[in-house]
Amino acid sequence: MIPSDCLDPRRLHLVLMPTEACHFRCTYCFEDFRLGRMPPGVVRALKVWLERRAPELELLQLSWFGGEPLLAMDLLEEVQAHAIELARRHPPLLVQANLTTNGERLEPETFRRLLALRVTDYQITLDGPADVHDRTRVLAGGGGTFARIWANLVAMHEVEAEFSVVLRVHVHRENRQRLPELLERCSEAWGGDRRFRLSLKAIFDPGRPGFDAESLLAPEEETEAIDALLVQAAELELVDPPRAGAPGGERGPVCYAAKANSFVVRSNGALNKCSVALSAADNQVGRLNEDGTVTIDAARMQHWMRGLFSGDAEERRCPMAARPVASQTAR
Amino acid sequence: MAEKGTGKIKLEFDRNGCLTPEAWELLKDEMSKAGSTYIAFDPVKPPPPPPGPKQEPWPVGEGGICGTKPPIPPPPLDLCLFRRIGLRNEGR
Repeated sequence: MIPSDCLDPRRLHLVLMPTEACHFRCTYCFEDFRLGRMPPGVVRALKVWLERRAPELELLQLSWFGGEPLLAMDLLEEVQAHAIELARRHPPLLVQANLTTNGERLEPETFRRLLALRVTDYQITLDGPADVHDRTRVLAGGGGTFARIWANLVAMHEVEAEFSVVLRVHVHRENRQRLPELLERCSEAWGGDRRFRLSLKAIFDPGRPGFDAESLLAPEEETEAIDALLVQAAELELVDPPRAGAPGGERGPVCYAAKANSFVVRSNGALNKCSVALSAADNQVGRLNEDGTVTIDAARMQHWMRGLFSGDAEERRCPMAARPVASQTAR
Repeated sequence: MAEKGTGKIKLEFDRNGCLTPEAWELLKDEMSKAGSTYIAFDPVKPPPPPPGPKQEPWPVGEGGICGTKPPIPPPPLDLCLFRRIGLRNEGR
């Protein structure tokens, strides 16, 4: 059975890119930062689209992404406040929002404003203890970023409110030996605070010149490294104990790119399916029009959704990875 | 247009980015033909209109100022629980 949330027209999930600019230049980043801030016409069209959809929706999920979305905090606030107002006017519409941020500008006052706008779920990335992190997650103008991110995380821990933080920790050849040290430090800072959960991810080749592919772990090394760190993380209460069954239940996980009711809204109004393969030509499945309508290329859309009716679990888990190799564009 | 019975389907989306009703039907057919346990989601049907005369929207005049107001509805029926089930309210 396909989970009804893959097709349900009462649900809409949007990955919103209010800006594709970023003040970081992480050494393994897959984005090109060519598109900057979302222009007023696209913001207006987005709000009209939401307004048109709101009467029939029961769940609107907004995933703030970028670029660094906090560089366009004013746009985020404008659209988020609009969505909340729509929920007020159209019960039982529920608005949920999460934010993927580098965390460097997530100061307490910004965090307070985001919570007030019901942005309750966060993903923030660290690459290791300060000296290790600052080698890969660097400012565009040079300089480290760990100290500010860490201060913001500690301040969040001290806030008494309902929210969650996925602390994403990247694993690669240069940092794997130092990650136990980072986990110890996290435990000292917020161990046992179940709002903070650790997620370990190996970096992948962004496919651009200058990337040091030597830093990638081989698949077996990756599994070994992550498994060992997960054991430590569990002991330190930084992860939840494993649950029975695979993610997504017996059918396996379904990527949002495979769903009929999920779109990435790029800052220029393009509608994409995958938030990683941004420059792959067939990733763009449509466009947000000036009047708040959308134009969808049904054939492309159907290609991304094919796992829903092919029975192929891999096509549902990652429709991008399951594509023919010739059409892939590494990011 | 949608094609049926070819083993391939062509989905269509409306100007809101939603599957059209026809696409829904195709999708359900395709999933049941696949013989899997896939069950298509039933598209949402609008809720039935509330009983009573249809309430007209408030008219909006120039500058968003309402010229008239809709008629005042009659007071609600007395649905006091105590009266309906024949009990007296003893002030508790």
